[in-house]
Amino acid sequence: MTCKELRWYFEDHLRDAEVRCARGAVAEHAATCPECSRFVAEQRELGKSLREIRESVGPVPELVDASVLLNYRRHMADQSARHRVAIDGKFRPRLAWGLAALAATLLVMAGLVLRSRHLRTGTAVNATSSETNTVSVREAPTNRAPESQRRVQPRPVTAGRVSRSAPERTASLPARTARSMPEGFGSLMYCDELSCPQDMQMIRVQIPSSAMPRQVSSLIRTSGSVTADVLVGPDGIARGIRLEEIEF
Amino acid sequence: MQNFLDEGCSDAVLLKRALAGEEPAFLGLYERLKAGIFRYAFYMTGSRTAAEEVTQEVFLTLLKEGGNYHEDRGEVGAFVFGIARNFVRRFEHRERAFEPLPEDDMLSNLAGGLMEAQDSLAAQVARNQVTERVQAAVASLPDHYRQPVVLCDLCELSYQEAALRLGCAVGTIRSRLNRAHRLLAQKLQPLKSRQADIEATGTEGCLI
Repeated sequence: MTCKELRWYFEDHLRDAEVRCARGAVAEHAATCPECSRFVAEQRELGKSLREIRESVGPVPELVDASVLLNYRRHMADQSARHRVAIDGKFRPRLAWGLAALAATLLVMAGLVLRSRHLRTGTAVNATSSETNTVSVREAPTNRAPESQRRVQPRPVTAGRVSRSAPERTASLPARTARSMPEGFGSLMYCDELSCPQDMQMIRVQIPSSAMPRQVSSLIRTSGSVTADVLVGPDGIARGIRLEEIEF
Repeated sequence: MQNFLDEGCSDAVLLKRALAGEEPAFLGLYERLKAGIFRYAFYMTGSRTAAEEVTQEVFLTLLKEGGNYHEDRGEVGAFVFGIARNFVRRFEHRERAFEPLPEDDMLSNLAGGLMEAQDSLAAQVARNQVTERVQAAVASLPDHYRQPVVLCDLCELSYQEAALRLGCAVGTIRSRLNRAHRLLAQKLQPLKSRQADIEATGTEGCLI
C-alpha cells in the first residue's frame, strides 16, 4: 500500500478506521512510514473524538415526542375545522347561485305560462265569438222554423185612437238576431236576448197621422191614419214598428 | 405505530397517510426520522435546547408543507432534512449575536460524572473537556465543511446520502470531508498536546 492509497482509505473509512487499522496493509504501511504513522494516529484520534460526540447526544427527549404529537393533533383539528369552513365557504356561493338560477327559471316558466294562458284566452275569445256568430248564423234558420211556425197571438191594444176593430192577423216573425230587429221593422228600443228573452207579440194597430213624426206625417196627411205592426215584448213595451201601408 | 414500522411502508406512504389524519402513520414516520433530525440539529447548533426546538418545528412544518412534497423529486428524508437545514440556518442567524452559555444538561452530565465512582474526577473532566472542544471545533468549521462532517461522521449517512441531502456530487462530499478532517485535526492539535501534558503530570498537575 502506498501513502496515497492509505490516505484514500482513511477518507472513505474514517468511522471504522481503528478496526481496520489494526489489521492488514494499513498497519504494515504505517509501521514503515513515519509520516503515514502520524497521519493514522491523527485520524484515529479524530475518529475517537467524533465517536464520543456521537455517543454524547443521547436519545430524543420524551418531552419533544409529546409536544410533536400534540402539535400533530392540534394541526389536524385546525385543518378539519378549516376544511369545514372551506366547505361552507364553497357551498354558500353555490347555494346562492343555485337559488338565483332557480328563481330565474321560475320567473321564465311563470312568464311562459302566463303568455300561453293569454294566448289561449285570446283564442278562446275569438273562438267563442266566432262560435257565437256561427251559432247565431246556424241558429237563425233553426230558430226561424219554429218561430215561423208559431203564431203570434194577436192582442187587442187600446191606445189612443187605435181601433179595436183592426184586423188582427197572425204574422210570422222573421228571425231575430241578437242585436237587430226583424226585417222591415224599425227599432223603437234596444232589443236583445236579455231584454227580450221570450217571444214578442205583433199587434196591428191604426195610428192617427197626427201621432206620427213629421217626416211620416207629411206622407200620410191625406189619409189621416196609418196601419202599422208593432212588436211588443212580454213586458208590454213596444220594441219595433213596421208601417204596413198608407191609406189614402 | 409498530405496525407501520413492521409493514415496511415507505416514508412517502406514511407521510401521505399522516397528512390524511392517520396518527399511527405520523408516529411511524416520526420514529424513523426524529433521531437523524435531532442529531443533525444538535451537532449543527451545539445546543440541545435548540435541537429540541428545531425538531419540533421541522415536524410541524412537515405537517403544514407536506402537501408540497413530490415523490419523484426525492425521498421524504431529504425533504425533511431540507426543512431542518433551513431551521438551523435561521437559528444560527438569530443566535449569531449572542455568546453561547454552557447548557444545563452539560452541567448535569458533569455532575453525574462526578457521582460515578469508577471514573476518576480528572478523567471525567478531561473527557468532557475533549468532547466540548471537539464540538467547538466542529462548530467553528465553515458551513460547507461542517455539513459533510455532521452528516457523514456524526449522523452516519453514506456519502451518497449526504450528497443527495446537500445537493452536490459524491466527489464534492469526499473532498470537503477530507479538507474538514484536516482542519479538525489542526484545531484539535493544541488539545492533544495539552492532554499529553496532563497525562504526564498526573491529576495533581491538572488540578494545579
